[in-house]
Amino acid sequence: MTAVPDEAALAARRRHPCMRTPVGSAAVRRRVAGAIAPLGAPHPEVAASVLAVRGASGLTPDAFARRAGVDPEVLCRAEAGEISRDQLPGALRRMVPA
Amino acid sequence: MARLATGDTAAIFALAEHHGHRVAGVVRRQLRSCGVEGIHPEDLQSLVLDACMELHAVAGAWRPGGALPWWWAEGRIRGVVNRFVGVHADALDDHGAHAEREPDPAAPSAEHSLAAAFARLVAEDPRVRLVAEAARAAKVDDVALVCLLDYQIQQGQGDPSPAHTLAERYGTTPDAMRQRICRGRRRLRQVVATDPRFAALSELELVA
Repeated sequence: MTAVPDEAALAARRRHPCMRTPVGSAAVRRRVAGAIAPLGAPHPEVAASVLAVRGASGLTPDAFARRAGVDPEVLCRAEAGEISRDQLPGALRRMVPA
Repeated sequence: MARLATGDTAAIFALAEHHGHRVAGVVRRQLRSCGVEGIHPEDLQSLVLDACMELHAVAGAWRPGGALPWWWAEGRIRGVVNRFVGVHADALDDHGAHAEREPDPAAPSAEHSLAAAFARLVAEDPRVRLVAEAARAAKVDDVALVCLLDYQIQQGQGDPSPAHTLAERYGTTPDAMRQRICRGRRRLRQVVATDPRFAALSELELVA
């Protein structure tokens, strides 16, 4: 009979080095910004940072906009790289690294 | 996978963070099967990122009723690794001849390009659409159907052993490839023979 791993065992497994992603979030941000830049967006780094925050939250754009208290359209434009960091609404700007 | 399939770019971050180790595992395995032992951590990171970007780019082709998400993704990840290994081999083979040229854009994997071509044909040709519907009814997933078509093409071009050619291309063994083709063809044949909707396909070599 196989024992079902409990929460502690699962947490221990998650801490094991083989379960760690070899990719840093900064590297993913750079790559995503690099993919957005050729589309002509003036602020691809901001777009990648906003996408990173939303990606980590696991929320859809609408749900994330509600949670962050920003207009979904503004969020959409920010994720498209159309808005600079200074133009982001305060709640969103605080989440995005300078 | 569902988030990636909807084209949500933010899902790339979740994929890299929560499943990066699994992607890296597939990358390492495929590298070993291509004869590449040991890889620099930076190259590994780059390959995992390439794989994540590729999965985001092609996730729209994934169907919930088709292959399981992870099984489906593995084929794409293997394609990314094959391209990486292939680029290195090309550079070593004729370095001098290409030294002055602009680098060629990375060619899509055979599986990917064939899947894309098939998806286009499904949209354009009602007969191909019928084949795709028959495949769905027969529970032959997209990857297996693409393999089946690729096998047929190879065979039609006079390849004496298509299973060997395709096994290398899809990162599997010739025996496994033969099994996949045989199983897919048998299921398709059964559906075409029993379901009157697909009677028009009985003449196709694919199910003959």
